[in-house]
Amino acid sequence: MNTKNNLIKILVPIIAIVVSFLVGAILIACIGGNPIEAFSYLFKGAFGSASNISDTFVKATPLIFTGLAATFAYRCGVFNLGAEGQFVMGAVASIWISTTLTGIPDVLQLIISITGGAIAGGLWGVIPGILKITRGLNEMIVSIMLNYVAILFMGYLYSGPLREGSVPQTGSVTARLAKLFSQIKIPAGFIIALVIAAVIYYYLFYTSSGFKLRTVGLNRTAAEYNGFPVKKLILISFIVSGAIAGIGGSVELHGTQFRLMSGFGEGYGFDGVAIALIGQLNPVGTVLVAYLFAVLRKGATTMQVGTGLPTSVIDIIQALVIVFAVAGSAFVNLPKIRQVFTNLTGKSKKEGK
Amino acid sequence: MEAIMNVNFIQELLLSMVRMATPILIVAIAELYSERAGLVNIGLDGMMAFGALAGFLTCYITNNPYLGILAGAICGISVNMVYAFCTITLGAEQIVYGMAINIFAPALASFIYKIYFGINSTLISNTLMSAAPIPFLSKIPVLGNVLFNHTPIVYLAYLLVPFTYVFFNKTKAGLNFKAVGEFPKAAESLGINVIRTKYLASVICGGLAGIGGAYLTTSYIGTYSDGVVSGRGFIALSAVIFGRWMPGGVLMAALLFGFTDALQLRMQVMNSGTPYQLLAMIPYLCTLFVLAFFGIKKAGPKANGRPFFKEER
Amino acid sequence: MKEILRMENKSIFIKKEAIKKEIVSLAAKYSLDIEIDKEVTEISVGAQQRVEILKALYRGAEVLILDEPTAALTDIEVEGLFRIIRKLTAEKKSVIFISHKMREVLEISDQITILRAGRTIATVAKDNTDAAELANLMIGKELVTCEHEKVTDTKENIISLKNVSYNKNSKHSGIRDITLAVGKGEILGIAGVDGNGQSQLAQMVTGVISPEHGEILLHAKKIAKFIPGYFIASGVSHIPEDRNKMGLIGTMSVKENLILKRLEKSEISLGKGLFLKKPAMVKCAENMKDKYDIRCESIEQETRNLSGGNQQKIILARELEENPDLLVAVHPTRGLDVGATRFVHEKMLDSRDNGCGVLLISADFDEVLKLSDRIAVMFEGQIVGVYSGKNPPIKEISLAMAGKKMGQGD
Repeated sequence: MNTKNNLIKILVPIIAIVVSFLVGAILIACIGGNPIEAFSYLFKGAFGSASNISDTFVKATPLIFTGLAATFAYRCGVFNLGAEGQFVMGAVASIWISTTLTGIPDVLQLIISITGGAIAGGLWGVIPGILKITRGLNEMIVSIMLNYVAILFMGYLYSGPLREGSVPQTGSVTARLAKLFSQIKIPAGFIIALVIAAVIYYYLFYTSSGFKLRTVGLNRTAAEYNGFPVKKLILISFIVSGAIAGIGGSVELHGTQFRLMSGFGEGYGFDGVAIALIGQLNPVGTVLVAYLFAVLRKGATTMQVGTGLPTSVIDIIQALVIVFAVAGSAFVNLPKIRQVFTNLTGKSKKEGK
Repeated sequence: MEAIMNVNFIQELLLSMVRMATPILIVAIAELYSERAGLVNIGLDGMMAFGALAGFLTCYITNNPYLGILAGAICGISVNMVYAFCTITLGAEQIVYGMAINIFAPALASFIYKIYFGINSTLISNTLMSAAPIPFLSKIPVLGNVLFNHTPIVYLAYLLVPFTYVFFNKTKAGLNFKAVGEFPKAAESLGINVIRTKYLASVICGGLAGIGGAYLTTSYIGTYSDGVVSGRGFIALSAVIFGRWMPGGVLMAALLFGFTDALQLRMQVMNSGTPYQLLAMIPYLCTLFVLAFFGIKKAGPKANGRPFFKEER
Repeated sequence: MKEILRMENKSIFIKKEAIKKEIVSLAAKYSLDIEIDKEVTEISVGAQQRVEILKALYRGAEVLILDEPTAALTDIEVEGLFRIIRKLTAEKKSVIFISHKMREVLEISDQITILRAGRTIATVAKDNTDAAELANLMIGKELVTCEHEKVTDTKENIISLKNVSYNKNSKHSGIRDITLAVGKGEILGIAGVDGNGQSQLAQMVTGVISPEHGEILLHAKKIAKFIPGYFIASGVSHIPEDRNKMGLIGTMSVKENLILKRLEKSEISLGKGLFLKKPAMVKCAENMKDKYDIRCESIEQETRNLSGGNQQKIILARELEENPDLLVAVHPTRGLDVGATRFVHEKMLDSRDNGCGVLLISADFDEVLKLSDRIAVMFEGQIVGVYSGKNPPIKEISLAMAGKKMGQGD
């Protein structure tokens, strides 16, 4: 019973991805391109060389963080749409710590900086949480407003107080996250993301607290009646979700960008939400889908250079995956369709006897 | 300080307020129709982006901003039909699907723009809709300029308010509509076609949201860029909540946000000392504070957000 | 209320006064007593029922389908409903009366059709059948009625309420100054029509809401915190009013719902919830499933796919396996078939015999009469009478449920 359910859950996103690529291929053909050529460039761009593979990991890292943030929040029934703002605030805290705390060994600075990023992200995430618990406010709008505030604040910082040089951007951080394995340079940030994914997986499925958190997301009233600390769990979900995104921002700063500038963290927030949904709210799924999105993003530029097709085609394929995956999940959950599935397995059981 | 007390300044400010409140008002009313039928649609931002593109492109090609508005409406409806099908017929979670639209529609818009205009960074501009001052009334000092010297879309937006009020409170069709949002099972048992009403609501919502977006690129600014909507769809959502799901309240909320937006722009010009980012934050912070202090727990239609399945017991 | 009826008007705009007159005269014709200017949520359930009927008549209905219409009516209101039905049939209108209450079906029907599992089993004329035969047809086998001992005195109280009030001004969702106690090893049944404060009472003795006035003592101690967690930790178990909304997590498996309350117990987890032992969870759930005869294909099945009866058994298993000191059971057999109902009743009686106090809230008067050692009647948020469960004075209780005393007219 459970395996059948799990099978369906995995099949839906896979089919969605396949269908989206098909539609994308048709779209490419319509504007005069060659789909096979286009996709081969895409593939080459993502996997063609050691440095390409490394870059794909680099691009996947921030997506894993925001994806995990969204996954964790949604498991508690909470829509954290503020991952972008939390991501940015994490980076802001990190740059501030890096510029203030000088003269200590790099490793220590990294640890403090990333922790600071987590705290900043957690604080930025707790604001919609508190408003939701005390005033019943819809957290989506609050968190989105905070996104804009965070991005504008970052803009103010790198154009003003923290600016270095004539271009609007901050100075670079000295403590940097290394890349491991000299053959294929996997960024340390990617490893950190995987560790966090594992921790979240364990928490959700192997601890009683995680179990209770999931019940709050599935049926808040029943969770309350059964004595679970609903408000506390909701608050935890906001804080942890924000912290994860904050760590993501910090890692992106120390591992890839090294400085704050226009466009830092752009689009990661909403993409994270999409990744969480397609990944069926499972940390493992989230990592896989985030990697897929990274493949798309990395390969898109190579495709554009090679064939002249705009990267927007890939954006559309990405968006189609979301549309189809969510519709697909809803479809298989329809009462009539569920009936079809039970009848199918019921029949085979009877024949087995 | 003296500058603020200047009548001219106030007049300009109010004029700006009316113009900037318009897209928020139209889109908020769009959402009102949708939510009254029980569909929470947070894909407004995405629909606006697509409507903005459609309006811009059509206006650019045909040189007719009114066709642009029409195109915006049609495109808004098409996008929302995807949402409608998936949430009404498939029963997908409305909020999740609204987010999907928010990701999908702007990507589509961006794609079409790049295909048509190529990939470069210069902004193309098109002809703006011209203002249509109402004779006599627009000659009234101060108020005349503020209220009656606008493009027709602005007038449309504000006329929607009394129209919507009358529709929901005084007509039979409006009452049926509301019933669908409050208690669909009862409505169904009375012979109201719930599914059809919900689809109709989605058409209205998509159309108006598309018009709201098209307004941005045909009457407000004459260019299209990826960030042209900048969260107005979400501000419109908060206007619905702040306005307690009533057309009059929504009008007040939209005007408030329009005012803060107009104010912060003026302050940027006047006050070159303060960095513009801090001023640009004002509308968003204002939305936050207003929600924090005046937002109440769900006062909206009771069956909001839940899918309707006929056989459910 | 006018608004609901308004919708049938043919014109585009609504003429308020004309419609009001029409409705009032229609109501008078069928002796339907309603207060037309009030909002539907403000009136009693019986009155809401009358509005529903008036709605149908206003639209010119020739066939009236009534689905479990007496679930929320007092005996006296049921009489009133039957009078209306007889008037309608006298006018050659047809009525389909769907109910599981055999007594009523036998009283009002001319013809009776029995459905089971979606199929028509038989159609009989009223004069040719009796309750026993109907019951047989309904469950397909001989029904054995059970008799059990009633408890007449208790030694100590598990929970006691003194002058407790909540939402005082509401007649239908408030509690006004009630004093009540449930003793160890007894079943206290709350009789009363749904919507007289029973939901609030249940929520209060399980910690979902807290009283605005008055005192509640649990195990003779003041209650530290009105949260469900405290009550659960103090030995209170709850079979809630709405099993799907309040009791079960529909998309979680049967196994997960069964062990929901045992997550920190050492048999299931290490370190009070830091590591869940999956095999132990399975074993525990299988035991509960066998003990309570829960029919499902596998414990990994999603709970929402089970029948109502089996879902209720999951809740029963989960709550009773905690060996509670107080069991709060609200409409525990609502929507269950005869066999499942019997099972639930047996388990509740077993609990009582083991020393558990049971607070039974039910709109099914027969159930309350059958199980209760003492019966308290709730009307408009107040306790209007407490009676012995052994040889209960049915007529008096019935009147109390409608808010009237012996000697007052209908």
